[in-house]
Amino acid sequence: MSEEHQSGVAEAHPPPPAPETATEIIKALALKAGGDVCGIADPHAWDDYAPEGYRPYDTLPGCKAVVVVGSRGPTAGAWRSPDSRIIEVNGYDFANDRAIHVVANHIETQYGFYAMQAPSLPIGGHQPPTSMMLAAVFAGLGTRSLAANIILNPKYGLLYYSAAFTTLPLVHDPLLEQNVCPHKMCVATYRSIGRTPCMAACPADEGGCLDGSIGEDGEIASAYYNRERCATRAMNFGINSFQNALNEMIAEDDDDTRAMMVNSDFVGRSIGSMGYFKDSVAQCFECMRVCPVGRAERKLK
Amino acid sequence: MSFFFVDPEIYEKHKDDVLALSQSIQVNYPEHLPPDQRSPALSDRQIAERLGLDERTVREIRCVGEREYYDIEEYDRAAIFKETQCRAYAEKGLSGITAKYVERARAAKKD
Repeated sequence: MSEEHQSGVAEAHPPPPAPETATEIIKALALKAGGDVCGIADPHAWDDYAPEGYRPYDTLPGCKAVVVVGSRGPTAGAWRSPDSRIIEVNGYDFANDRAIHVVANHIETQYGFYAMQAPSLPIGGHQPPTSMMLAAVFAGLGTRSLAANIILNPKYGLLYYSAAFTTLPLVHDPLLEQNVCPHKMCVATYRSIGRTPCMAACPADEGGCLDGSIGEDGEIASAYYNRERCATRAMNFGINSFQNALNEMIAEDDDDTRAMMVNSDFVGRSIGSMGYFKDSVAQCFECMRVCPVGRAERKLK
Repeated sequence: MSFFFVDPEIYEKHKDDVLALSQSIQVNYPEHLPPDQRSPALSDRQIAERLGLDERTVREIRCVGEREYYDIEEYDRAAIFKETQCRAYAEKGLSGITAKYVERARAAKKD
């Protein structure tokens, strides 16, 4: 490998702008390409929070910055639909993925530095190689919540995140100084009924996913999240449900009954979700529906 | 053997330990919590080292364990849960979700 490639500077490209300028350009580009927010994380921020093999420089050797883009999923109109099936199919349009590809392509073609989308889809069971939650926190875009550990942005609340690893030096953003969760309204609700709105919507002690506590200081004191229960709801129809249904279908001896199972709405939705890649995003919004963070952004005429 | 899978006996022996060390149940993940209070999960490699297994076996046990954690009825109930919650919020707003807890809190105060 040539020295130029080792240092990340290809011969065909002029020297990149200073890190401060490049950071400004990239953030503006990300927002123009469909992102609602953009931040830059330090790849070494993962060192104390993710095991070896799950840090940015494990995937892209020499990674110097992680560009993180967040985009809103469901539109305000989709949030208002009383039919939960609607938001399942209107919940996400990959805007953050598109924006991060624009950013990565720009870094490689304009500056001659390596860039790649951070791998966030599971490659073994439910385990992704890179946590977009950590990426969003380390880029200063949000903090973890009591609602399924979802990272809440102070302005928008729930956002979908994508990230790009790059060898291009950029200016890292600081972490948010204040935790977004719990919202003061949720603290008051917790003091009154012993749970926040999200915990009331999906309580672990009543067959749901969430539990936790808020300390005297008004901050999260403990948090419990049953991811596997959440998977039955947020990934209701998809690979999980299909594999489980497949076990039942192949064990069914009666031809007519088996045909009813194979052609059922349940199996159809499961296959549909896999075909449309829908089980990789979200099919349950009930803890976020009641979250006050970002609600102002969803109030329209 | 056409593809790799674990022996059912190995799976049954280790699945609870593997899932307990994985991210299936996430306790105290918020980054602001003190390090001694946070309890992040282990990677497959770390679990393998802890349990004296190889990484591929751990990954396989975890993948099957995640699928089997809840049976198919739970997926069916999930659709009904969402339908109920979504309609309740559309009709009554937040009170549609919190009303029963408000009542419980009032009853507890009376007692």
